Amino acid sequence: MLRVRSLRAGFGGVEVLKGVSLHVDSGEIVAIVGANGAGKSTLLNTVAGLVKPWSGSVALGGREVAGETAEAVAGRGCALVPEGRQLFPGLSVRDNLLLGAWLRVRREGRRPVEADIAEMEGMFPVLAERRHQAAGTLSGGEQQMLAIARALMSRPSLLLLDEPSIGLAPLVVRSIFATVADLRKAGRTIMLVEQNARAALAVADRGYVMETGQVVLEGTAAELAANRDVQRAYLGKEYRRIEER
Amino acid sequence: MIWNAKYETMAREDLAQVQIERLQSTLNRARRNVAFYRQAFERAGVKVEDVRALPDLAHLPFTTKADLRAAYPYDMFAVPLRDIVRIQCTSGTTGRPVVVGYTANDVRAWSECMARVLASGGVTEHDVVQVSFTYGLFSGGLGFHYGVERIGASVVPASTGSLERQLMIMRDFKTSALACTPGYALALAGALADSGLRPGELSLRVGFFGAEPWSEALRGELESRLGIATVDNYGLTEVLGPGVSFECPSRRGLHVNEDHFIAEVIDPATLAVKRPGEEGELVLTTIAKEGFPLVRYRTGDLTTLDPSPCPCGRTLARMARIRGRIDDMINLGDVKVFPSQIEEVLAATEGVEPHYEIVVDRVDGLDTLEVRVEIAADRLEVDEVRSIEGLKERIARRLAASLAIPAKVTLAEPKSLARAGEGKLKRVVDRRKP
Repeated sequence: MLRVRSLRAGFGGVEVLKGVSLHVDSGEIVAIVGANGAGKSTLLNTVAGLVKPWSGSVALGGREVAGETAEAVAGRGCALVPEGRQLFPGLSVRDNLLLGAWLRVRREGRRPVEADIAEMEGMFPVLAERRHQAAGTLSGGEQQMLAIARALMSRPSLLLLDEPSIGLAPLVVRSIFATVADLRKAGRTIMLVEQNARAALAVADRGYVMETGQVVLEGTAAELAANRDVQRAYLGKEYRRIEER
Repeated sequence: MIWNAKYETMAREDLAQVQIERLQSTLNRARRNVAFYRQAFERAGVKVEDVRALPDLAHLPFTTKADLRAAYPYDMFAVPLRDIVRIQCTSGTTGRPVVVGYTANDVRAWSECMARVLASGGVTEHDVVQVSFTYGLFSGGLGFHYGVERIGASVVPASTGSLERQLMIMRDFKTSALACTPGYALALAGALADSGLRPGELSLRVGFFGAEPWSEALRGELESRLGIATVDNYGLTEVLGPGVSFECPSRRGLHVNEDHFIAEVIDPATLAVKRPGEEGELVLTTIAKEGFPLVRYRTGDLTTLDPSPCPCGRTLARMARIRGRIDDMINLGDVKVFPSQIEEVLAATEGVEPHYEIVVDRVDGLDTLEVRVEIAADRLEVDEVRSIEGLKERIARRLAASLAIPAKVTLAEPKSLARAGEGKLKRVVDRRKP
């Protein structure tokens, strides 16, 4: 599905991604975990075409997309749910969903898009309840659901989720990750960037640990969760608890 | 039987992606956590970020046994000691031992690699596997042990020791698979013949032999005398233990677990990377180890690599059976001889046992080669002096043809030469003054 090779990118003269390689197979959830500033979001934005790579390769379904515009990458079936949701707060929930499918409306017309809005409202009942409400009036968790639903409206083959749990209460985080787990069951392919490594590794199949723009560990989610470095740095396990295990 | 179809039969292109990802993350960790590698990369003037594709590995410096000895005991560990759950080490017969640490994930990965070896020989949960490698610091015993447990077969940790006791266990416990060195298997075959048991009275079906080079002729001998199939497997404690590579039923070399190791073959003199099919020294880079990652480790073993598809369905590249260790190579004038070549001749000759000793000497400035070999017990009883002389001549002729140098052949009494025991057997005596 997605294959990234030795990707380098940055801002100004500062290199943020220093040669990152990873892949996401069809039907997999792959988590990218790491501390703030490790380059996780830059990685997602570079894959999505929002940041131009300096070098390296990004292949979507066997096709090279590195250096293409965000619109072109979206057209290849890659949808990004950006950090902070980036909804249109003044527009209604329904209009936000419609906008998620704007590439399709032009191609396919209104009818299949309406059917998908109905599907999204089935998957996220709260969005049906708030159909005509302005997106800006939704709670943080509801906004995150709307952002995910809006991304799904483009019928992506690959969904990129950037910090879906950020700024949300623990209970809401749990329901967001339950949604991610449901998407996996439905056969969606997801690359998930998260500082909340515990929650991310609990739903992911595999993962990569990033530090200062490089991958320092990769493995199955279970292997990463069992790695003591990951436990100390990202799972918040105290040293004493590790020793007592 | 294929244990892990995903990785053992992965398309080469997908495997290359897995390898570059794991190589890069290994290099990043090695540089961050191991002072030796930080300095080695700096000295060589290479940046790990510049390794963008697999061929770039060739720009990185080698790691040698001397480097590992200098790091004694823990300086090559890439994680703090509190993350290490197992410590093994090399025998240290030729110097300081090399100490290797494994994290919990490393032990799991090792078990996975070993399960592939055992499954390739058809081992399932229904088998009883007798592990007759020495347990302890030597990695052979516990390496096989955990692999058998991963498969869910019954493991009998017999270790080494009294051959009679081994045979008793083998018969009474209905051992179906045996794991040991080929030398120890030969000793067991001898004890079996002495005991009056026939191979048919045992349940033994397959033998996993490794940890030292063994010839195709010795394989034939072991298979017929024990009445089993054999699976060659290869590994070394420095990079893992057993489980680096293993034979499949097609017997076209040993499949390297390439999702855990990157194998290269180099010219030991020029250090240049050789092409597939060209013989040279095997160099291994670990790409899935946490505790003790090694970059371009020179194994000292001579082999060739073949990445072409195998009829068994595995896509993992194959290395040829080890022809010998560079250290074991005997230089006689300008002729190079490996003990394995001599073993090949002896094992294929009627009337002698493949128990032998090689004596190298210098007489009047000329290097001489003497091969001492045990005569078969039955041969000694029936044969006259004349036919024994004929046997010696026959061996000498075959050796001369195989080695391109004349060898003096001496026949020894049955059971008079050293047998494989706990340690590695020293078969070469070099009397030349250095």
